[in-house]
Amino acid sequence: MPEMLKLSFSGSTALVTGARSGIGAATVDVLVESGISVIALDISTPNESVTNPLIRQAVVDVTDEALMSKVLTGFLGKGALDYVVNCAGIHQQSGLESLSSQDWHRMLDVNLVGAALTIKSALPWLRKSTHGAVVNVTSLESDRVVALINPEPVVHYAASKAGLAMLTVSMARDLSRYGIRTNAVAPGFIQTPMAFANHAGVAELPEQAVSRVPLGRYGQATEVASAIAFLLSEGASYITGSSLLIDGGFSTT
Amino acid sequence: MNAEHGLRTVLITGGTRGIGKGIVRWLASHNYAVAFSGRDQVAGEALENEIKSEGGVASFIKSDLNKSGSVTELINITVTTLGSLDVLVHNAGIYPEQALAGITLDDWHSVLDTNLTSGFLLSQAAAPHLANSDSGRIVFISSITGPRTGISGLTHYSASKGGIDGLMRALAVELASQGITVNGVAPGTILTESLAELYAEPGLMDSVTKIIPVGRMGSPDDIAATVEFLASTSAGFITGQSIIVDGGQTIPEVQGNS
Repeated sequence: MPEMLKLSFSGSTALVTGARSGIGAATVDVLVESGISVIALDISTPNESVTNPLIRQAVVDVTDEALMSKVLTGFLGKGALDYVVNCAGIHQQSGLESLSSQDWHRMLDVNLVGAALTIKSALPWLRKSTHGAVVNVTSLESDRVVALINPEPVVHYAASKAGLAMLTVSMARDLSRYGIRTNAVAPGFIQTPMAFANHAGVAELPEQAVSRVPLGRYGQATEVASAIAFLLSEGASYITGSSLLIDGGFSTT
Repeated sequence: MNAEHGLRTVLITGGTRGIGKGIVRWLASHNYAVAFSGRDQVAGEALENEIKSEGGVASFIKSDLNKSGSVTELINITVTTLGSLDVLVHNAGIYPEQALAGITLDDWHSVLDTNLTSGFLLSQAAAPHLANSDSGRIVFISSITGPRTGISGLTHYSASKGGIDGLMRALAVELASQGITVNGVAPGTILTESLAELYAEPGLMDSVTKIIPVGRMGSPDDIAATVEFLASTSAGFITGQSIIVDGGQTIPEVQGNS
């Protein structure tokens, strides 16, 4: 079999939010495999089965700026941080009419503001890196409506991901002054717990959705994680402000 | 896979200089058996010998993609030489600068034939072989002018790169059932030998790098590493996409590193 892509990371440190499951958890695994030390944050309780000393876990809600700073200070001290991966995200179906103000704010706070604040909180350490890079996890739905998997509209989710996509480009300019690159991956139909929990008609979803994906299958979280790892790596040192859609060709049809 | 060496196999067009040469070198040192084409016999043989002397597997195939039948011949020789074809990288391209009023129909056809039509012919001839791979890949080297910018004085070039992007998306859908992914890399300003000559005038290079957020021009290696990623088995769920590799050049109104 062909070898897995070898990435050059040279003993770096990464921060991953939403690290407990799905794409976040796969990202932690892929980065650790490359020898990167990972600070794995999630709103859920830490995974007790993790024994790898390269992984340090903590419970943080990404909307809690003060706690984020405190946790990072505890983990990083006078050290440097090389990578930030914003995986934390929530999903909910709702049209505008039935959408509560509370749900609207929570969605934007987690998916958009939380990502921005995470980068801001990490910046004092990220600036010390010689090869700093950020990857934001947006969505296929950040620039198109995907009715197939959402019987109800996802107005606030879509808006939050569209915001995150533009935040990525704007941050690429902003952070270039510190030599920090900022890119996004936009996952399509990926087999994650969230994808299956939050889309109605789950029972019919697999066959229906897969039949519309040219490559004929769901993506795996590891495949998104590999793209994230590539965008963080030295090989991608000339890529900033870019977005990579990982959807098996769905949006091309 | 190449049975003798246990390496994945790749054909790179336009491999004797510039970005193509960078891709040839990179993949030859990253677990690929490489075939590459070009019109310059001397440069091609020199590169082949250089890679072999470093222990790599490389084979130069002299080919003019615009000659009738040459593309089929190129693919056949590649498969005979390497034993299989896992990855096709179409990089060959020309960019003769010319204002709209001065472009003749022959100029137009020459650019479209080299940059775009050869991409169609190569894909057609390579697809049956790529389908035999457990992870067949086509990677087109496009340009930021494909999806995004416009370049005055390069209308035919820009049209050809826009065409490449359309070809890439349609092939991605059509070849998906055969397990072949089709993607593109859209380079910004890459410092190749010919560009270095162009920017030899003092101060000119600085004026260009100043507007690139990462503060430097790209290198052929930057493109090669992205090609390697898209060609890898890890990128198996990515198809129909173009990755912009431009140091942030197309983010508007950047004032440069300060």
